[in-house]
Amino acid sequence: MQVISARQLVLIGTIFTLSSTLISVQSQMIPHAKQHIWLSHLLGMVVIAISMWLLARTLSRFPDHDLFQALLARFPSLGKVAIALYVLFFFFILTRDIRMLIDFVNVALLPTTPMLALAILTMFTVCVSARGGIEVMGRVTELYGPLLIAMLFFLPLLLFREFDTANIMPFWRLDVPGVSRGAWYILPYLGEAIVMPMIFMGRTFRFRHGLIALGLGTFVLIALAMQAMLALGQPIMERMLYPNYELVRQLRITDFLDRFDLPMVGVWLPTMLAKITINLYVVCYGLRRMIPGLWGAAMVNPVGFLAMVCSIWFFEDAIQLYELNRVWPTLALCFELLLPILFYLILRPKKQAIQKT
Amino acid sequence: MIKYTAPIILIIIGILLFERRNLKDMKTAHRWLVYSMLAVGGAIWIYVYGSDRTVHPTRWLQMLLEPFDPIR
Repeated sequence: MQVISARQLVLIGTIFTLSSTLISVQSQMIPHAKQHIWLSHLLGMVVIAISMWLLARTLSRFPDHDLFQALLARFPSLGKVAIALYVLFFFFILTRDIRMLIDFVNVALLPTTPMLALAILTMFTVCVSARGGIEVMGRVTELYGPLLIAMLFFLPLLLFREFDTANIMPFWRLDVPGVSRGAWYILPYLGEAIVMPMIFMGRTFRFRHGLIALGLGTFVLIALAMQAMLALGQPIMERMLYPNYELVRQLRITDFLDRFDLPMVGVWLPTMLAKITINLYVVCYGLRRMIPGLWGAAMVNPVGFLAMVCSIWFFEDAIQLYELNRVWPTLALCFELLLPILFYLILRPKKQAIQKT
Repeated sequence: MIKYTAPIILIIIGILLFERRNLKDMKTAHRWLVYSMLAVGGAIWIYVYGSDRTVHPTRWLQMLLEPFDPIR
Protein backbone atom coordinates (compact mmCIF):
# COMPACT_ATOMS: atom_id res chain seq x y z
CA MET A 1 0.00 0.00 0.00
CA GLN A 2 1.50 3.27 -1.11
CA VAL A 3 1.16 6.21 1.25
CA ILE A 4 0.98 9.87 0.29
CA SER A 5 1.09 12.70 2.81
CA ALA A 6 -1.32 15.63 2.69
CA ARG A 7 1.56 17.94 1.72
CA GLN A 8 2.56 15.72 -1.20
CA LEU A 9 -1.08 15.54 -2.28
CA VAL A 10 -1.39 19.34 -2.29
CA LEU A 11 1.91 19.72 -4.15
CA ILE A 12 0.83 17.22 -6.81
CA GLY A 13 -2.35 19.30 -7.35
CA THR A 14 -0.29 22.53 -7.48
CA ILE A 15 2.13 21.05 -10.01
CA PHE A 16 -0.82 19.99 -12.17
CA THR A 17 -2.22 23.52 -12.07
CA LEU A 18 1.08 25.29 -12.55
CA SER A 19 3.67 23.42 -14.63
CA SER A 20 2.18 23.41 -18.13
CA THR A 21 -0.01 26.50 -17.62
CA LEU A 22 2.98 28.78 -17.23
CA ILE A 23 4.41 27.82 -20.65
CA SER A 24 2.29 29.78 -23.11
CA VAL A 25 -1.44 30.03 -22.42
CA GLN A 26 -1.10 33.35 -20.58
CA SER A 27 0.02 35.12 -23.74
CA GLN A 28 -3.32 34.13 -25.32
CA MET A 29 -5.24 35.55 -22.37
CA ILE A 30 -3.53 38.93 -22.53
CA PRO A 31 -5.23 40.35 -25.69
CA HIS A 32 -8.63 39.74 -24.04
CA ALA A 33 -8.07 40.29 -20.32
CA LYS A 34 -5.29 42.92 -20.67
CA GLN A 35 -4.20 44.38 -17.32
CA HIS A 36 -6.96 42.39 -15.55
CA ILE A 37 -5.43 39.05 -16.37
CA TRP A 38 -5.34 38.37 -12.62
CA LEU A 39 -9.16 38.51 -12.55
CA SER A 40 -9.36 35.95 -15.36
CA HIS A 41 -7.21 33.60 -13.29
CA LEU A 42 -9.46 34.11 -10.26
CA LEU A 43 -12.61 33.54 -12.30
CA GLY A 44 -11.16 30.31 -13.70
CA MET A 45 -10.16 29.23 -10.21
CA VAL A 46 -13.68 29.77 -8.82
CA VAL A 47 -15.23 27.59 -11.57
CA ILE A 48 -12.73 24.78 -11.01
CA ALA A 49 -13.10 25.08 -7.21
CA ILE A 50 -16.83 24.35 -7.69
CA SER A 51 -15.94 21.26 -9.72
CA MET A 52 -13.42 20.22 -7.07
CA TRP A 53 -16.05 20.63 -4.34
CA LEU A 54 -18.49 18.46 -6.29
CA LEU A 55 -15.86 15.74 -6.70
CA ALA A 56 -14.83 15.94 -3.04
CA ARG A 57 -18.47 15.63 -1.92
CA THR A 58 -19.00 12.69 -4.27
CA LEU A 59 -15.87 10.96 -3.04
CA SER A 60 -16.78 11.53 0.63
CA ARG A 61 -19.62 9.02 0.04
CA PHE A 62 -16.94 6.41 -0.80
CA PRO A 63 -14.18 6.75 1.85
CA ASP A 64 -12.33 3.57 0.77
CA HIS A 65 -12.48 4.25 -2.97
CA ASP A 66 -10.99 6.64 -5.45
CA LEU A 67 -13.27 7.98 -8.18
CA PHE A 68 -12.48 5.18 -10.65
CA GLN A 69 -13.19 2.51 -8.01
CA ALA A 70 -16.39 4.28 -6.95
CA LEU A 71 -17.61 4.39 -10.55
CA LEU A 72 -16.93 0.68 -10.99
CA ALA A 73 -18.51 -0.27 -7.67
CA ARG A 74 -21.75 1.59 -8.44
CA PHE A 75 -22.10 1.20 -12.22
CA PRO A 76 -19.94 -1.74 -13.43
CA SER A 77 -20.63 -1.26 -17.18
CA LEU A 78 -21.28 2.48 -17.48
CA GLY A 79 -18.46 3.06 -14.99
CA LYS A 80 -16.03 1.40 -17.39
CA VAL A 81 -17.24 3.69 -20.17
CA ALA A 82 -16.70 6.75 -17.94
CA ILE A 83 -13.20 5.52 -16.96
CA ALA A 84 -12.37 4.88 -20.65
CA LEU A 85 -13.39 8.48 -21.45
CA TYR A 86 -11.18 9.81 -18.64
CA VAL A 87 -8.29 7.58 -19.78
CA LEU A 88 -8.59 9.08 -23.28
CA PHE A 89 -8.82 12.59 -21.81
CA PHE A 90 -5.70 12.18 -19.69
CA PHE A 91 -3.92 10.43 -22.57
CA PHE A 92 -4.55 13.51 -24.69
CA ILE A 93 -3.24 15.80 -21.92
CA LEU A 94 -0.22 13.48 -21.63
CA THR A 95 0.58 13.78 -25.35
CA ARG A 96 0.00 17.55 -25.29
CA ASP A 97 2.31 18.04 -22.30
CA ILE A 98 5.04 15.89 -23.88
CA ARG A 99 4.79 17.93 -27.08
CA MET A 100 4.76 21.25 -25.20
CA LEU A 101 7.88 20.24 -23.29
CA ILE A 102 9.69 18.98 -26.41
CA ASP A 103 8.76 22.10 -28.39
CA PHE A 104 9.89 24.39 -25.58
CA VAL A 105 13.25 22.64 -25.17
CA ASN A 106 13.69 22.55 -28.95
CA VAL A 107 12.84 26.23 -29.48
CA ALA A 108 14.40 27.80 -26.40
CA LEU A 109 17.24 25.57 -25.25
CA LEU A 110 18.43 22.95 -27.78
CA PRO A 111 17.51 24.16 -31.29
CA THR A 112 19.79 21.76 -33.19
CA THR A 113 18.83 18.60 -31.28
CA PRO A 114 16.35 16.41 -33.24
CA MET A 115 12.85 16.21 -31.81
CA LEU A 116 13.02 12.41 -31.70
CA ALA A 117 16.08 12.53 -29.40
CA LEU A 118 14.26 14.91 -27.02
CA ALA A 119 11.12 12.75 -27.11
CA ILE A 120 13.06 9.55 -26.36
CA LEU A 121 15.00 11.12 -23.47
CA THR A 122 11.80 12.62 -22.00
CA MET A 123 9.86 9.38 -22.23
CA PHE A 124 12.71 7.28 -20.86
CA THR A 125 12.81 9.48 -17.73
CA VAL A 126 9.04 9.50 -17.43
CA CYS A 127 8.62 5.73 -17.85
CA VAL A 128 11.33 4.92 -15.28
CA SER A 129 9.70 7.30 -12.77
CA ALA A 130 6.14 6.08 -13.43
CA ARG A 131 7.11 2.46 -12.72
CA GLY A 132 7.97 3.56 -9.17
CA GLY A 133 4.32 4.42 -8.52
CA ILE A 134 2.62 7.43 -7.03
CA GLU A 135 4.73 7.43 -3.84
CA VAL A 136 7.90 8.08 -5.81
CA MET A 137 6.14 10.88 -7.68
CA GLY A 138 4.96 12.31 -4.37
CA ARG A 139 8.58 12.50 -3.21
CA VAL A 140 9.83 14.05 -6.46
CA THR A 141 7.07 16.66 -6.28
CA GLU A 142 7.89 17.35 -2.64
CA LEU A 143 11.49 18.04 -3.64
CA TYR A 144 11.05 20.27 -6.69
CA GLY A 145 7.54 21.71 -6.12
CA PRO A 146 8.42 23.96 -3.13
CA LEU A 147 11.68 24.94 -4.85
CA LEU A 148 9.81 26.12 -7.96
CA ILE A 149 7.16 27.95 -5.92
CA ALA A 150 9.79 29.64 -3.71
CA MET A 151 11.84 30.63 -6.75
CA LEU A 152 8.83 32.18 -8.47
CA PHE A 153 7.97 34.09 -5.28
CA PHE A 154 11.48 35.58 -5.16
CA LEU A 155 11.33 36.73 -8.79
CA PRO A 156 9.92 40.21 -7.99
CA LEU A 157 12.95 40.95 -5.80
CA LEU A 158 15.27 40.29 -8.74
CA LEU A 159 13.08 41.89 -11.41
CA PHE A 160 12.04 44.97 -9.47
CA ARG A 161 14.14 47.35 -11.57
CA GLU A 162 12.48 46.20 -14.80
CA PHE A 163 8.92 46.99 -13.66
CA ASP A 164 6.98 49.85 -15.23
CA THR A 165 3.58 50.51 -13.63
CA ALA A 166 2.41 52.29 -16.80
CA ASN A 167 2.10 48.81 -18.33
CA ILE A 168 -0.88 47.92 -16.14
CA MET A 169 -2.78 51.19 -16.59
CA PRO A 170 -5.71 52.02 -16.61
CA PHE A 171 -6.04 49.63 -13.70
CA TRP A 172 -9.65 50.43 -12.71
CA ARG A 173 -11.25 50.31 -16.20
CA LEU A 174 -12.75 46.84 -16.07
CA ASP A 175 -13.71 44.94 -19.22
CA VAL A 176 -15.94 42.10 -17.97
CA PRO A 177 -16.40 40.26 -21.33
CA GLY A 178 -12.63 40.47 -21.89
CA VAL A 179 -11.92 39.03 -18.43
CA SER A 180 -14.39 36.18 -19.12
CA ARG A 181 -12.72 35.42 -22.46
CA GLY A 182 -9.35 35.35 -20.69
CA ALA A 183 -10.76 32.90 -18.12
CA TRP A 184 -11.98 30.67 -20.99
CA TYR A 185 -8.38 29.99 -22.02
CA ILE A 186 -7.09 29.11 -18.57
CA LEU A 187 -10.07 27.03 -17.39
CA PRO A 188 -8.98 23.65 -18.84
CA TYR A 189 -5.42 24.09 -17.57
CA LEU A 190 -6.52 24.84 -14.00
CA GLY A 191 -9.11 22.06 -14.29
CA GLU A 192 -6.41 19.45 -14.71
CA ALA A 193 -6.20 19.48 -10.91
CA ILE A 194 -9.24 17.14 -10.97
CA VAL A 195 -6.68 14.38 -11.32
CA MET A 196 -6.44 14.29 -7.50
CA PRO A 197 -9.74 12.47 -6.80
CA MET A 198 -9.01 10.05 -9.66
CA ILE A 199 -6.01 8.50 -7.89
CA PHE A 200 -6.58 9.24 -4.19
CA MET A 201 -9.19 7.65 -1.94
CA GLY A 202 -12.08 9.49 -0.32
CA ARG A 203 -10.41 9.44 3.09
CA THR A 204 -7.12 10.84 1.68
CA PHE A 205 -8.49 13.52 -0.62
CA ARG A 206 -10.42 16.36 0.99
CA PHE A 207 -11.85 19.49 -0.59
CA ARG A 208 -9.43 21.67 1.36
CA HIS A 209 -6.49 19.84 -0.28
CA GLY A 210 -7.91 20.57 -3.71
CA LEU A 211 -8.64 24.18 -2.83
CA ILE A 212 -5.15 24.82 -1.38
CA ALA A 213 -3.52 23.19 -4.45
CA LEU A 214 -5.69 25.18 -6.84
CA GLY A 215 -5.26 28.41 -4.86
CA LEU A 216 -1.49 28.09 -4.58
CA GLY A 217 -1.08 27.28 -8.27
CA THR A 218 -3.37 30.13 -9.32
CA PHE A 219 -1.64 32.60 -7.00
CA VAL A 220 1.78 31.79 -8.46
CA LEU A 221 0.36 32.05 -11.99
CA ILE A 222 -1.16 35.46 -11.19
CA ALA A 223 2.17 36.64 -9.73
CA LEU A 224 3.99 35.50 -12.89
CA ALA A 225 1.45 37.06 -15.26
CA MET A 226 1.48 40.41 -13.45
CA GLN A 227 5.28 40.48 -13.38
CA ALA A 228 5.38 39.73 -17.11
CA MET A 229 2.86 42.55 -17.65
CA LEU A 230 4.93 44.95 -15.54
CA ALA A 231 8.27 44.02 -17.04
CA LEU A 232 7.41 43.29 -20.68
CA GLY A 233 4.12 45.09 -21.22
CA GLN A 234 1.00 43.89 -22.98
CA PRO A 235 2.08 44.40 -26.65
CA ILE A 236 5.24 42.31 -26.24
CA MET A 237 3.67 39.67 -24.00
CA GLU A 238 0.82 38.86 -26.41
CA ARG A 239 3.30 38.31 -29.27
CA MET A 240 5.44 35.85 -27.31
CA LEU A 241 5.00 32.09 -27.48
CA TYR A 242 6.79 31.72 -24.13
CA PRO A 243 6.21 34.99 -22.22
CA ASN A 244 7.34 33.70 -18.84
CA TYR A 245 10.59 32.38 -20.27
CA GLU A 246 11.16 35.82 -21.76
CA LEU A 247 10.47 37.27 -18.31
CA VAL A 248 13.13 35.14 -16.60
CA ARG A 249 15.54 36.00 -19.41
CA GLN A 250 15.32 39.57 -18.16
CA LEU A 251 17.09 38.46 -14.99
CA ARG A 252 20.70 39.50 -14.85
CA ILE A 253 22.49 39.17 -11.55
CA THR A 254 26.08 40.33 -11.97
CA ASP A 255 28.19 39.31 -14.98
CA PHE A 256 28.55 35.74 -13.74
CA LEU A 257 24.83 35.03 -13.68
CA ASP A 258 23.65 36.65 -16.89
CA ARG A 259 22.01 33.33 -17.91
CA PHE A 260 20.00 32.98 -14.71
CA ASP A 261 17.15 31.59 -16.83
CA LEU A 262 18.98 28.25 -17.12
CA PRO A 263 18.91 27.31 -13.39
CA MET A 264 15.27 28.45 -13.28
CA VAL A 265 14.36 26.21 -16.21
CA GLY A 266 16.40 23.50 -14.46
CA VAL A 267 14.01 23.63 -11.51
CA TRP A 268 10.86 23.89 -13.66
CA LEU A 269 11.76 20.95 -15.94
CA PRO A 270 11.59 18.25 -13.20
CA THR A 271 8.15 19.54 -12.14
CA MET A 272 6.96 19.30 -15.75
CA LEU A 273 8.41 15.78 -15.98
CA ALA A 274 6.64 14.94 -12.71
CA LYS A 275 3.35 16.15 -14.17
CA ILE A 276 3.84 14.04 -17.31
CA THR A 277 4.74 11.05 -15.13
CA ILE A 278 1.60 11.39 -13.02
CA ASN A 279 -0.46 11.70 -16.22
CA LEU A 280 1.08 8.47 -17.49
CA TYR A 281 0.41 6.85 -14.11
CA VAL A 282 -3.26 7.91 -14.27
CA VAL A 283 -3.68 6.47 -17.77
CA CYS A 284 -2.14 3.12 -16.71
CA TYR A 285 -4.16 3.14 -13.48
CA GLY A 286 -7.37 3.74 -15.45
CA LEU A 287 -6.51 0.84 -17.80
CA ARG A 288 -5.89 -1.37 -14.78
CA ARG A 289 -9.33 -0.51 -13.39
CA MET A 290 -11.01 -1.12 -16.75
CA ILE A 291 -9.31 -4.44 -17.46
CA PRO A 292 -9.38 -6.72 -14.39
CA GLY A 293 -6.08 -8.48 -13.66
CA LEU A 294 -4.00 -6.12 -15.80
CA TRP A 295 -0.68 -5.25 -14.19
CA GLY A 296 -0.40 -1.45 -14.37
CA ALA A 297 3.42 -1.24 -14.06
CA ALA A 298 3.88 -3.51 -17.10
CA MET A 299 1.72 -1.13 -19.16
CA VAL A 300 3.90 1.91 -18.43
CA ASN A 301 6.42 1.37 -21.23
CA PRO A 302 3.93 0.49 -24.01
CA VAL A 303 1.59 3.36 -23.06
CA GLY A 304 4.56 5.73 -22.74
CA PHE A 305 5.79 4.66 -26.18
CA LEU A 306 2.34 5.18 -27.72
CA ALA A 307 2.05 8.60 -26.01
CA MET A 308 5.47 9.64 -27.35
CA VAL A 309 4.53 8.69 -30.92
CA CYS A 310 1.08 10.30 -30.62
CA SER A 311 2.60 13.53 -29.24
CA ILE A 312 4.40 13.90 -32.57
CA TRP A 313 1.44 12.75 -34.69
CA PHE A 314 -1.41 14.65 -32.97
CA PHE A 315 0.04 18.16 -33.32
CA GLU A 316 1.40 19.72 -36.49
CA ASP A 317 3.73 22.20 -34.77
CA ALA A 318 4.04 24.43 -31.70
CA ILE A 319 1.79 27.10 -33.27
CA GLN A 320 -1.03 24.66 -33.98
CA LEU A 321 -0.84 23.40 -30.41
CA TYR A 322 -1.03 27.03 -29.29
CA GLU A 323 -4.11 27.68 -31.47
CA LEU A 324 -5.84 24.59 -30.09
CA ASN A 325 -6.04 26.32 -26.69
CA ARG A 326 -8.91 28.46 -28.05
CA VAL A 327 -11.28 25.55 -28.74
CA TRP A 328 -9.92 22.96 -26.30
CA PRO A 329 -11.92 24.32 -23.28
CA THR A 330 -15.20 23.21 -24.93
CA LEU A 331 -14.17 19.56 -24.74
CA ALA A 332 -12.12 19.81 -21.54
CA LEU A 333 -15.00 21.35 -19.58
CA CYS A 334 -17.14 18.28 -20.33
CA PHE A 335 -14.64 16.26 -18.27
CA GLU A 336 -13.72 18.93 -15.76
CA LEU A 337 -17.17 20.34 -15.00
CA LEU A 338 -20.11 18.50 -16.60
CA LEU A 339 -19.10 14.95 -15.61
CA PRO A 340 -18.30 16.01 -11.99
CA ILE A 341 -21.83 17.56 -11.80
CA LEU A 342 -23.28 14.29 -13.12
CA PHE A 343 -21.23 12.24 -10.62
CA TYR A 344 -22.40 14.47 -7.77
CA LEU A 345 -26.02 13.89 -8.73
CA ILE A 346 -26.01 10.14 -9.40
CA LEU A 347 -22.93 8.56 -7.82
CA ARG A 348 -24.10 7.32 -4.42
CA PRO A 349 -23.40 4.04 -2.59
CA LYS A 350 -26.06 1.34 -2.81
CA LYS A 351 -28.63 1.45 -0.03
CA GLN A 352 -27.59 -2.02 1.22
CA ALA A 353 -24.02 -0.82 1.63
CA ILE A 354 -25.19 2.22 3.59
CA GLN A 355 -27.32 0.05 5.95
CA LYS A 356 -24.40 -2.34 6.58
CA THR A 357 -22.10 0.52 7.54
CA MET B 1 12.94 4.45 -45.13
CA ILE B 2 15.46 2.70 -42.86
CA LYS B 3 16.51 6.12 -41.47
CA TYR B 4 13.19 6.70 -39.71
CA THR B 5 12.14 3.10 -39.07
CA ALA B 6 15.41 1.98 -37.43
CA PRO B 7 15.08 4.06 -34.23
CA ILE B 8 11.50 3.01 -33.63
CA ILE B 9 12.23 -0.67 -34.26
CA LEU B 10 15.13 -0.42 -31.79
CA ILE B 11 12.83 1.19 -29.19
CA ILE B 12 10.19 -1.54 -29.66
CA ILE B 13 12.83 -4.29 -29.33
CA GLY B 14 14.19 -2.51 -26.24
CA ILE B 15 10.73 -2.42 -24.61
CA LEU B 16 10.09 -6.09 -25.44
CA LEU B 17 13.45 -7.09 -23.95
CA PHE B 18 12.86 -4.96 -20.85
CA GLU B 19 9.37 -6.39 -20.33
CA ARG B 20 10.12 -10.01 -21.35
CA ARG B 21 9.63 -11.43 -17.84
CA ASN B 22 6.41 -9.47 -17.27
CA LEU B 23 5.13 -10.51 -20.69
CA LYS B 24 5.70 -14.17 -19.80
CA ASP B 25 3.63 -13.84 -16.62
CA MET B 26 0.81 -11.89 -18.27
CA LYS B 27 -2.49 -13.35 -19.48
CA THR B 28 -2.56 -13.90 -23.24
CA ALA B 29 -5.13 -11.15 -23.81
CA HIS B 30 -3.05 -8.63 -21.84
CA ARG B 31 0.11 -9.67 -23.70
CA TRP B 32 -1.64 -9.01 -27.00
CA LEU B 33 -2.75 -5.63 -25.71
CA VAL B 34 0.92 -4.74 -25.16
CA TYR B 35 1.90 -6.06 -28.61
CA SER B 36 -0.92 -4.17 -30.29
CA MET B 37 0.04 -0.91 -28.54
CA LEU B 38 3.62 -1.27 -29.75
CA ALA B 39 2.45 -2.17 -33.27
CA VAL B 40 0.05 0.78 -33.43
CA GLY B 41 2.78 3.11 -32.14
CA GLY B 42 5.23 1.80 -34.75
CA ALA B 43 2.65 2.12 -37.54
CA ILE B 44 1.85 5.72 -36.54
CA TRP B 45 5.54 6.54 -36.50
CA ILE B 46 6.09 5.14 -40.00
CA TYR B 47 2.98 7.00 -41.23
CA VAL B 48 4.12 10.32 -39.72
CA TYR B 49 7.64 10.15 -41.12
CA GLY B 50 6.85 8.25 -44.33
CA SER B 51 3.88 10.26 -45.57
CA ASP B 52 4.31 13.60 -47.34
CA ARG B 53 0.95 14.99 -46.22
CA THR B 54 0.29 13.74 -42.70
CA VAL B 55 -3.21 14.27 -41.32
CA HIS B 56 -2.98 15.55 -37.75
CA PRO B 57 -5.98 14.54 -35.56
CA THR B 58 -6.03 17.84 -33.66
CA ARG B 59 -6.71 19.71 -36.93
CA TRP B 60 -9.93 17.71 -37.18
CA LEU B 61 -10.64 18.22 -33.49
CA GLN B 62 -10.18 21.95 -33.97
CA MET B 63 -12.65 21.99 -36.89
CA LEU B 64 -15.11 19.88 -34.89
CA LEU B 65 -15.02 22.17 -31.85
CA GLU B 66 -14.96 25.46 -33.78
CA PRO B 67 -18.80 25.92 -33.82
CA PHE B 68 -18.88 25.64 -30.00
CA ASP B 69 -16.20 28.28 -29.48
CA PRO B 70 -17.81 31.25 -27.67
CA ILE B 71 -14.89 33.59 -28.37
CA ARG B 72 -15.06 33.61 -32.18
